Amino acid sequence: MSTQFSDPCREDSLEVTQAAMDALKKTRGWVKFLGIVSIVMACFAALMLLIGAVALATKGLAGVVMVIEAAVILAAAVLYAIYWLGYSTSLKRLDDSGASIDEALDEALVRQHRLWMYQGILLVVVIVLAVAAAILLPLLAGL
Amino acid sequence: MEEAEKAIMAKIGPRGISAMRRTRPWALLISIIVLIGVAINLVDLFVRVLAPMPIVAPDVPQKMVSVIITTSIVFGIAGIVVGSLGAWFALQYGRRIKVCLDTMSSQTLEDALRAQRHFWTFQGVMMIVGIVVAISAFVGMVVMGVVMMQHGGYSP
Repeated sequence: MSTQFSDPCREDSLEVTQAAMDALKKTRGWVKFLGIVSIVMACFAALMLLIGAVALATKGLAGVVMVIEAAVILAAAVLYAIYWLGYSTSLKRLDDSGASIDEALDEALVRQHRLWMYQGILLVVVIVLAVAAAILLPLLAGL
Repeated sequence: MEEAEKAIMAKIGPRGISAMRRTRPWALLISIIVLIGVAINLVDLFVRVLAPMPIVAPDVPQKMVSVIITTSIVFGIAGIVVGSLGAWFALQYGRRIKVCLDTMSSQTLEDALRAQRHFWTFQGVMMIVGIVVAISAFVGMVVMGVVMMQHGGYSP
Protein backbone atom coordinates (compact mmCIF):
# COMPACT_ATOMS: atom_id res chain seq x y z
CA MET A 1 0.00 0.00 0.00
CA SER A 2 1.42 3.37 -0.95
CA THR A 3 1.74 6.23 1.51
CA GLN A 4 -1.26 8.51 1.25
CA PHE A 5 -1.33 12.19 2.00
CA SER A 6 -4.27 14.52 1.79
CA ASP A 7 -4.63 17.11 -0.92
CA PRO A 8 -3.27 20.43 0.39
CA CYS A 9 -5.91 22.28 -1.66
CA ARG A 10 -8.78 20.73 0.30
CA GLU A 11 -9.21 22.60 3.54
CA ASP A 12 -12.59 21.22 4.57
CA SER A 13 -11.22 17.87 5.71
CA LEU A 14 -7.97 16.33 6.89
CA GLU A 15 -7.12 12.65 6.45
CA VAL A 16 -6.11 10.79 9.57
CA THR A 17 -3.60 7.94 9.40
CA GLN A 18 -3.46 4.90 11.68
CA ALA A 19 -0.41 6.40 13.43
CA ALA A 20 -2.26 9.67 14.13
CA MET A 21 -5.25 7.72 15.42
CA ASP A 22 -2.95 5.69 17.68
CA ALA A 23 -1.39 8.88 19.05
CA LEU A 24 -4.87 10.16 19.90
CA LYS A 25 -6.02 6.88 21.45
CA LYS A 26 -2.87 6.57 23.58
CA THR A 27 -3.73 9.92 25.13
CA ARG A 28 -6.85 8.40 26.65
CA GLY A 29 -5.23 6.56 29.56
CA TRP A 30 -3.51 9.70 30.87
CA VAL A 31 -6.56 11.89 30.38
CA LYS A 32 -8.73 9.38 32.25
CA PHE A 33 -6.15 9.15 35.05
CA LEU A 34 -6.08 12.95 35.40
CA GLY A 35 -9.89 12.99 35.50
CA ILE A 36 -9.94 10.42 38.30
CA VAL A 37 -7.31 12.40 40.27
CA SER A 38 -9.54 15.47 39.86
CA ILE A 39 -12.46 13.59 41.41
CA VAL A 40 -10.24 12.61 44.36
CA MET A 41 -9.12 16.24 44.70
CA ALA A 42 -12.75 17.37 44.59
CA CYS A 43 -13.52 14.97 47.47
CA PHE A 44 -10.63 16.41 49.52
CA ALA A 45 -11.82 19.94 48.73
CA ALA A 46 -15.35 19.04 49.85
CA LEU A 47 -13.91 17.72 53.12
CA MET A 48 -11.87 20.93 53.50
CA LEU A 49 -15.02 22.97 52.86
CA LEU A 50 -16.81 21.07 55.60
CA ILE A 51 -13.95 21.63 58.08
CA GLY A 52 -13.79 25.30 57.03
CA ALA A 53 -17.51 25.70 57.64
CA VAL A 54 -17.05 24.33 61.16
CA ALA A 55 -13.99 26.57 61.71
CA LEU A 56 -15.92 29.60 60.42
CA ALA A 57 -17.56 30.15 63.80
CA THR A 58 -14.36 29.96 65.86
CA LYS A 59 -11.45 31.03 63.62
CA GLY A 60 -12.84 34.26 62.09
CA LEU A 61 -10.84 35.42 59.04
CA ALA A 62 -8.84 32.17 58.87
CA GLY A 63 -12.11 30.23 58.62
CA VAL A 64 -13.42 32.52 55.86
CA VAL A 65 -10.18 32.13 53.87
CA MET A 66 -10.32 28.34 54.27
CA VAL A 67 -13.94 28.18 53.08
CA ILE A 68 -13.21 30.39 50.03
CA GLU A 69 -10.08 28.36 49.17
CA ALA A 70 -11.94 25.07 49.48
CA ALA A 71 -14.89 26.31 47.40
CA VAL A 72 -12.58 27.52 44.60
CA ILE A 73 -10.58 24.24 44.61
CA LEU A 74 -13.82 22.21 44.65
CA ALA A 75 -15.28 24.11 41.68
CA ALA A 76 -11.99 23.89 39.73
CA ALA A 77 -11.57 20.16 40.43
CA VAL A 78 -15.17 19.32 39.48
CA LEU A 79 -14.86 21.25 36.21
CA TYR A 80 -11.47 19.63 35.54
CA ALA A 81 -13.01 16.17 36.10
CA ILE A 82 -15.88 16.99 33.72
CA TYR A 83 -13.56 18.19 30.93
CA TRP A 84 -10.96 15.44 31.38
CA LEU A 85 -13.46 12.60 31.60
CA GLY A 86 -15.48 14.11 28.74
CA TYR A 87 -12.40 14.06 26.53
CA SER A 88 -11.55 10.55 27.67
CA THR A 89 -15.09 9.35 26.82
CA SER A 90 -14.92 10.94 23.38
CA LEU A 91 -11.59 9.15 22.76
CA LYS A 92 -13.17 5.85 23.78
CA ARG A 93 -15.91 6.44 21.19
CA LEU A 94 -13.23 6.31 18.49
CA ASP A 95 -13.02 2.56 19.12
CA ASP A 96 -16.77 2.01 19.27
CA SER A 97 -18.06 4.35 16.58
CA GLY A 98 -17.49 2.17 13.44
CA ALA A 99 -18.98 3.98 10.47
CA SER A 100 -19.39 7.30 12.31
CA ILE A 101 -15.69 7.51 13.19
CA ASP A 102 -15.31 10.88 11.43
CA GLU A 103 -17.93 12.42 13.70
CA ALA A 104 -16.36 10.81 16.77
CA LEU A 105 -13.01 12.27 15.72
CA ASP A 106 -14.46 15.78 15.32
CA GLU A 107 -16.14 15.43 18.72
CA ALA A 108 -12.84 14.35 20.33
CA LEU A 109 -11.07 17.40 18.89
CA VAL A 110 -13.83 19.72 20.09
CA ARG A 111 -13.52 18.19 23.57
CA GLN A 112 -9.73 18.60 23.61
CA HIS A 113 -10.19 22.24 22.56
CA ARG A 114 -12.56 22.79 25.53
CA LEU A 115 -10.03 21.16 27.86
CA TRP A 116 -7.19 23.41 26.67
CA MET A 117 -9.47 26.44 26.89
CA TYR A 118 -10.44 25.51 30.44
CA GLN A 119 -6.79 25.05 31.43
CA GLY A 120 -5.94 28.46 29.99
CA ILE A 121 -8.87 30.20 31.69
CA LEU A 122 -8.11 28.47 34.99
CA LEU A 123 -4.48 29.56 34.82
CA VAL A 124 -5.53 33.20 34.28
CA VAL A 125 -8.11 32.99 37.09
CA VAL A 126 -5.52 31.51 39.49
CA ILE A 127 -3.10 34.36 38.70
CA VAL A 128 -5.82 36.99 39.22
CA LEU A 129 -6.91 35.36 42.51
CA ALA A 130 -3.29 35.11 43.72
CA VAL A 131 -2.68 38.81 42.98
CA ALA A 132 -6.01 39.77 44.62
CA ALA A 133 -5.17 37.66 47.69
CA ALA A 134 -1.68 39.20 47.92
CA ILE A 135 -3.25 42.69 47.98
CA LEU A 136 -6.42 42.08 49.98
CA LEU A 137 -5.31 39.65 52.70
CA PRO A 138 -2.78 42.01 54.35
CA LEU A 139 -5.41 44.76 54.23
CA LEU A 140 -8.08 42.51 55.80
CA ALA A 141 -5.63 41.27 58.44
CA GLY A 142 -4.89 44.88 59.34
CA LEU A 143 -8.55 45.68 60.02
CA MET B 1 4.45 -1.96 9.35
CA GLU B 2 5.14 1.63 8.28
CA GLU B 3 2.63 1.33 5.44
CA ALA B 4 -0.06 0.14 7.85
CA GLU B 5 0.63 3.18 10.01
CA LYS B 6 0.14 5.45 6.98
CA ALA B 7 -3.20 3.91 6.01
CA ILE B 8 -6.04 6.44 6.12
CA MET B 9 -8.44 5.58 8.93
CA ALA B 10 -10.77 8.57 9.06
CA LYS B 11 -11.22 12.20 8.17
CA ILE B 12 -11.37 15.28 10.34
CA GLY B 13 -14.18 17.55 9.16
CA PRO B 14 -14.51 21.36 9.36
CA ARG B 15 -15.70 21.13 12.97
CA GLY B 16 -12.57 19.26 14.07
CA ILE B 17 -10.28 21.52 12.04
CA SER B 18 -11.91 24.57 13.59
CA ALA B 19 -11.46 23.04 17.08
CA MET B 20 -7.76 22.52 16.38
CA ARG B 21 -7.40 26.07 15.09
CA ARG B 22 -9.06 27.42 18.26
CA THR B 23 -6.87 25.22 20.50
CA ARG B 24 -3.64 26.83 19.31
CA PRO B 25 -3.96 30.21 21.09
CA TRP B 26 -4.75 28.43 24.37
CA ALA B 27 -1.72 26.16 24.06
CA LEU B 28 0.46 29.21 23.37
CA LEU B 29 -1.11 31.21 26.23
CA ILE B 30 -0.49 28.34 28.68
CA SER B 31 3.13 28.00 27.59
CA ILE B 32 3.75 31.77 27.86
CA ILE B 33 2.18 32.04 31.33
CA VAL B 34 4.16 29.01 32.55
CA LEU B 35 7.37 30.48 31.11
CA ILE B 36 6.72 33.76 32.96
CA GLY B 37 6.23 31.68 36.14
CA VAL B 38 9.53 29.89 35.46
CA ALA B 39 11.31 33.25 35.05
CA ILE B 40 9.89 34.54 38.36
CA ASN B 41 10.90 31.27 40.03
CA LEU B 42 14.40 31.62 38.60
CA VAL B 43 14.82 35.15 40.00
CA ASP B 44 13.44 33.97 43.36
CA LEU B 45 15.90 31.07 43.41
CA PHE B 46 18.88 33.35 42.64
CA VAL B 47 17.87 35.69 45.47
CA ARG B 48 17.48 32.77 47.87
CA VAL B 49 20.87 31.30 46.95
CA LEU B 50 22.86 34.56 46.69
CA ALA B 51 21.23 36.53 49.52
CA PRO B 52 19.43 34.09 51.83
CA MET B 53 17.19 35.59 54.51
CA PRO B 54 18.28 34.54 58.01
CA ILE B 55 15.80 32.23 59.70
CA VAL B 56 15.21 33.54 63.19
CA ALA B 57 13.96 30.55 65.14
CA PRO B 58 16.00 29.88 68.26
CA ASP B 59 13.90 26.82 69.12
CA VAL B 60 14.61 25.11 65.80
CA PRO B 61 17.90 23.13 65.63
CA GLN B 62 20.48 24.44 63.10
CA LYS B 63 20.41 21.10 61.28
CA MET B 64 16.67 21.49 60.71
CA VAL B 65 17.17 25.04 59.37
CA SER B 66 19.69 23.68 56.82
CA VAL B 67 17.22 20.97 55.79
CA ILE B 68 14.46 23.57 55.28
CA ILE B 69 16.71 25.85 53.17
CA THR B 70 18.04 22.94 51.06
CA THR B 71 14.51 21.60 50.52
CA SER B 72 13.23 25.00 49.38
CA ILE B 73 16.12 25.32 46.89
CA VAL B 74 15.59 21.77 45.57
CA PHE B 75 11.85 22.46 45.13
CA GLY B 76 12.68 25.75 43.40
CA ILE B 77 14.96 23.97 40.89
CA ALA B 78 12.37 21.21 40.40
CA GLY B 79 9.68 23.85 39.73
CA ILE B 80 11.87 25.50 37.09
CA VAL B 81 12.63 22.19 35.35
CA VAL B 82 9.00 20.97 35.43
CA GLY B 83 7.64 24.38 34.34
CA SER B 84 10.12 24.63 31.47
CA LEU B 85 9.27 21.13 30.23
CA GLY B 86 5.50 21.75 30.51
CA ALA B 87 5.80 25.05 28.64
CA TRP B 88 7.94 23.38 25.98
CA PHE B 89 5.40 20.58 25.40
CA ALA B 90 2.52 23.09 25.15
CA LEU B 91 4.58 25.27 22.81
CA GLN B 92 5.39 22.26 20.62
CA TYR B 93 1.70 21.42 20.35
CA GLY B 94 0.81 25.01 19.43
CA ARG B 95 3.57 25.12 16.79
CA ARG B 96 2.61 21.78 15.30
CA ILE B 97 -1.06 22.72 15.04
CA LYS B 98 0.03 25.74 13.01
CA VAL B 99 2.20 23.62 10.69
CA CYS B 100 -0.65 21.10 10.34
CA LEU B 101 -3.23 23.75 9.47
CA ASP B 102 -0.83 25.46 7.07
CA THR B 103 0.05 22.27 5.17
CA MET B 104 -3.18 20.27 5.79
CA SER B 105 -1.21 17.02 5.45
CA SER B 106 -1.64 13.73 7.30
CA GLN B 107 2.00 13.70 8.37
CA THR B 108 1.84 17.07 10.15
CA LEU B 109 -1.45 16.05 11.77
CA GLU B 110 0.32 12.99 13.14
CA ASP B 111 3.05 15.23 14.56
CA ALA B 112 0.49 17.53 16.16
CA LEU B 113 -1.45 14.68 17.78
CA ARG B 114 1.81 13.13 19.02
CA ALA B 115 2.79 16.47 20.55
CA GLN B 116 -0.60 16.60 22.26
CA ARG B 117 -0.10 13.07 23.58
CA HIS B 118 3.34 14.04 24.93
CA PHE B 119 1.82 17.01 26.77
CA TRP B 120 -0.87 14.93 28.49
CA THR B 121 1.61 12.14 29.26
CA PHE B 122 3.87 14.74 30.87
CA GLN B 123 0.96 16.12 32.90
CA GLY B 124 0.01 12.61 34.02
CA VAL B 125 3.57 11.73 35.03
CA MET B 126 3.93 15.03 36.88
CA MET B 127 0.65 14.34 38.68
CA ILE B 128 2.02 10.98 39.89
CA VAL B 129 5.27 12.67 40.97
CA GLY B 130 3.24 15.40 42.70
CA ILE B 131 1.18 12.84 44.62
CA VAL B 132 4.34 10.98 45.72
CA VAL B 133 6.00 14.27 46.78
CA ALA B 134 2.87 15.36 48.69
CA ILE B 135 2.71 12.06 50.59
CA SER B 136 6.48 12.23 51.28
CA ALA B 137 6.14 15.85 52.47
CA PHE B 138 3.33 14.83 54.82
CA VAL B 139 5.44 12.01 56.28
CA GLY B 140 8.43 14.39 56.47
CA MET B 141 6.39 16.98 58.38
CA VAL B 142 5.28 14.36 60.87
CA VAL B 143 8.91 13.24 61.35
CA MET B 144 10.05 16.88 61.70
CA GLY B 145 7.37 17.46 64.32
CA VAL B 146 8.55 14.43 66.30
CA VAL B 147 12.21 15.56 66.06
CA MET B 148 11.30 19.10 67.18
CA MET B 149 9.33 17.75 70.13
CA GLN B 150 12.34 15.65 71.13
CA HIS B 151 14.48 18.82 71.11
CA GLY B 152 11.89 20.54 73.26
CA GLY B 153 11.32 23.24 70.64
CA TYR B 154 7.70 22.46 69.96
CA SER B 155 4.81 22.50 72.34
CA PRO B 156 1.45 21.60 70.83
